[in-house]
Amino acid sequence: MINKAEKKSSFLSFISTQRALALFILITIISLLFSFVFPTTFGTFSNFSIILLNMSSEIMIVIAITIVLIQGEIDLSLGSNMVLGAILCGRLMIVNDLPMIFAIIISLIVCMACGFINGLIVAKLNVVSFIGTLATGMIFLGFAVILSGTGWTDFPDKLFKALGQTKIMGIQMPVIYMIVALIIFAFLVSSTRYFRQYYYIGANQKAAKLSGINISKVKITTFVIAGCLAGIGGIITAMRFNTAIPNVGAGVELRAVTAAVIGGVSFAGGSGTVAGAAMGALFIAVLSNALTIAKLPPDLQPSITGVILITAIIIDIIVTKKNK
Amino acid sequence: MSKLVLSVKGITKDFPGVRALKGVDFDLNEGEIHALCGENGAGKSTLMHILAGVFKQDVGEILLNGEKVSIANQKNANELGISIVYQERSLVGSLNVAENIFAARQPVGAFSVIKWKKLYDDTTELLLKLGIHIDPKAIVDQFSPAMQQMIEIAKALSLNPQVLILDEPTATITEKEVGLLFSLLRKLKEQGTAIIYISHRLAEIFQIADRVTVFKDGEHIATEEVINIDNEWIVNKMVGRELYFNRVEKLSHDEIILECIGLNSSKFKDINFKVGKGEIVSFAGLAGAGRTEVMRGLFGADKVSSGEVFINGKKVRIRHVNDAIKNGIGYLPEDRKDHGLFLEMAVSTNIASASLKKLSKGMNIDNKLINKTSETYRKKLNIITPSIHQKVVNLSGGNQQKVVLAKWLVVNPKIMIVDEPTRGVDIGAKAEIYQILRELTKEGTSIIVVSSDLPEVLAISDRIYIMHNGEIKGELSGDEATEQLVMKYASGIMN
Repeated sequence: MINKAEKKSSFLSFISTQRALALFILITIISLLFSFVFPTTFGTFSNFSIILLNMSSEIMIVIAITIVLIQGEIDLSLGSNMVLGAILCGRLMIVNDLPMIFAIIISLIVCMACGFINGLIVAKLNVVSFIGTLATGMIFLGFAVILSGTGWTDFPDKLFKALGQTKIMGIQMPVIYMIVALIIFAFLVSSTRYFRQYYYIGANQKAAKLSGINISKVKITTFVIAGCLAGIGGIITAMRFNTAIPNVGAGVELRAVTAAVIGGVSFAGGSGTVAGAAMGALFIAVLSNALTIAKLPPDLQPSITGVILITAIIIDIIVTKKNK
Repeated sequence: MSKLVLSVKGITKDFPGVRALKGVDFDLNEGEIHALCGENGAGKSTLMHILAGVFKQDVGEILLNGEKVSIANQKNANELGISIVYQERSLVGSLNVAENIFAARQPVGAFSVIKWKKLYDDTTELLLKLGIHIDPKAIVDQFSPAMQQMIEIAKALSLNPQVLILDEPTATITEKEVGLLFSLLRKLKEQGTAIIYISHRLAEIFQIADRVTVFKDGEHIATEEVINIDNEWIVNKMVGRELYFNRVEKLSHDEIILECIGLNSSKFKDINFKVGKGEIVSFAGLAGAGRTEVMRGLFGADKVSSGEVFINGKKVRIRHVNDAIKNGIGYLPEDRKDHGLFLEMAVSTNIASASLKKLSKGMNIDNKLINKTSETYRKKLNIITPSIHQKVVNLSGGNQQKVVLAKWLVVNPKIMIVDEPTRGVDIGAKAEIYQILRELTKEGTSIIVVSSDLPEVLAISDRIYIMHNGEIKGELSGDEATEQLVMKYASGIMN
C-alpha cells in the first residue's frame, strides 16, 4: 500500500498548520527583543499585565467570532450585543434597583435571546449571516442607545466595581476571567464532540448533514453562545471601567475577526482553533504596545495590523496551493 | 444460493416534471458486488439516494433481510446497515483521519468529551482490517485523491454496514490506484459485505462485479451474471432506444479553421483535433471524460500546460479568455445559469453583455442600438418573452439558452463552442436550437458541441470526437456513427 502522507515540513507550512505555536514563538521573540531594547518601559511585569488587561475586554468577542467562523458564518452584531449587555446590566442596577446578580443574569438572558434571533435568521430563514447580523447589530445597538441615557456609572453595589478592578498578585480580575474563558473554550472546541461538529459544518455543510448533524440546531446554539459571550464581555468591561456607555463596542467584531484570522481561523469555515485566535489577539496587543513604547506614530498602527493580516492570509493561500 | 440481503420492489419516484424511476426492482446478495449501469439520467443516483434515506420513494417497498423497512433519513439508513460513498468528497481537510472517519460519531465520555485514545484505537483497528496503512492522526489534506477516497470508504465502513454503496468510486483516481481500491473491495466481499457498485467504466465491471443491472430512462432493463455477458450486451442494453431526431443536412468543409495539436493539462492529455469552416464537430463521452475541460482550456478559462493552437493556419497563443474572444472564439458554458447569464437582468442587457464595445458610441452605451439588436435576435431566434426588457430569470430554460446564443451571435465568433446546449431544455426548443446552430454554419461559423446526449450528438454532428478519461479515443464521421459505436469508445472498451 502506498502511503502518500509526505510530511510537508517547510517553514510556511509550519506557520500555517501550527499557527498557535508559531505565533507564540514570534510573540516571544518580539517580547525578548523589545525587552532588551526598552528594559525599563516594555520589559516589565506591569507593562505585560497592562497588555493582557487591554486584551481582556475584547477576548470574549474573539472567542465568539472564532466559534461562529469555524462553522462558516459570521456575527457582526457581537459589538452591539456586548454594549447592550453592559448598558442593560447598568440600567437594571441603577434605575430598577435590582441586585447585581439578577441584573447580570437578566442581561445575559437578553444577550442570549439576541443570539437566538441571529440564529433563527441565519439557520431557519437562510439569510446570509453577514447581512442578517449586520441588520440585527443595528437593531441591538439602537436599543442599547435608548436604554443608555447618558450612560451609567457609579453602580450602587460596590462589589460590581471590585469584580472589575481588584488585583490579585498584581493581575487585574478581567485578565483572570480572560484566562478562564480561554481555557474553557479551548478545551470545549478541541475536545468535545458537540463542538467538533462545527468543523464538519464549516467545511462541507451538505456532507455534515449526511453525517447526521442537525445543522440548524447547532447553528442556532452557536449564535446563542456567541451572544452570551458578548454579554459577558460587555459586563466585564463595565466592571473594569465602572461605566457602561454605548461606544465601547464600536468595531470590536472586526478587530476580533482580524485576531482570529491572524490566528489561523479560516474565513471560509472548517478550520482554526481557539488557541490560535487567542494568540492572534495577543500578537496584535503585544505589537501595538511595543510600537507605542518605541514611539512610533500611533496613526501607523492600523496599517501595520493590515499588513500582518494580509500576510497571514497569503501564507495560508500559498500553503493550500502547495498541498493541492 | 447465497443469502438475499437487500431487495427493492417496484420503486417509483417522481420529481416535478420527471418520473425518475418507473417501478424498478433490484436485488443484492450477501458477499456480492452488484454493478449498476446506465447513461446519465437513467435513475441510478435516484435509487441510491432513496436507499441512503435522502429521498423517499413514492411507490414500492424496500426489504432488508426479508423485512420491510422504511428509510427516513441518512442516520436511519446507517442504523439499518446501509452506507453510501458519494461521488463528491465529504471530508474535512483540516481534521485528521480518525476524526473524519468517525465524523460526528467520535466515542465520547461525560459532557461529550472525546475519548481520543479510543478514537485512535478504533481507527487503527479499522484501517488495519481494511489494509490501509496510514496514521490516524495525519491531517487529511496531505493525502492524494485516491487515499482520500479510501478514507471515504473507511468512513462508510466504520458503521459496519451490510450494504455498501459506491457511486463512481474511480471517477477521481488514477488507474494504478484503482487496483488498490479493488483489492479492498474483494476483501470486503470475502467478509460478506454486499456492495452496489455504480460506474460508467464498463471495463471495471468485468474486473470486479459478480452481477450487473442496467437501468435506462428510469426503468430496469436487465440483470445478468457478469460471466454470461460481454461489453456488447451492456452497451446495447444501455442505449437500446430509438433516435428521435432527424439528422439535419450536412455541408462539406475543406477549409480548416481551427487545429489543436497536443494539448495537455492536468485534466486531459495529448488532445489533437481539427474543425473545418462551417462544420459542426461534437465531443461525445461520459460525464467526467474531460470534454468541458478541453474546451475551457481552448477558451483560455483554464490553464493548458502544453500544446499548440492554430486558427486559419496561424499559430495563436490563448492565455486568457480575452485572447480567445479576440481570436474569434465564443463559448456557451455548460451551466448557463452560473456562467452564461445574468439572471436578474433584462434580456437586452444579457444579449449585449459580451459586445458592449460594439454597442457603444464613444464612452456611452448606445441603448437604442442595444434594443434594436436585441429585438432583431428575439425575432430571429424566436425567443419567447413579453419584451426584451423582461428579466431572464422569468424565461423558460429553452428561451434562456436562446438568450445565451443571441449574446454570442452579436459577438459573431468564427468558432463557437457550445457545452451541453440543450440540457434542461424541452424537446420543441431542442429542435429549434439545432436549427439555429445549423443556420450559423451556413454563414461560415464553425461549431464545437460538447454533449452527453447521444441522440443529439448523432443528429447534429458532421464529425464526432469521443473522449474517455481525458483522452480522445475515437473519431467518427457523422454518417458512420451509431450510438453503440460511440458508447464503446466512450466507456473505454475500444481504443
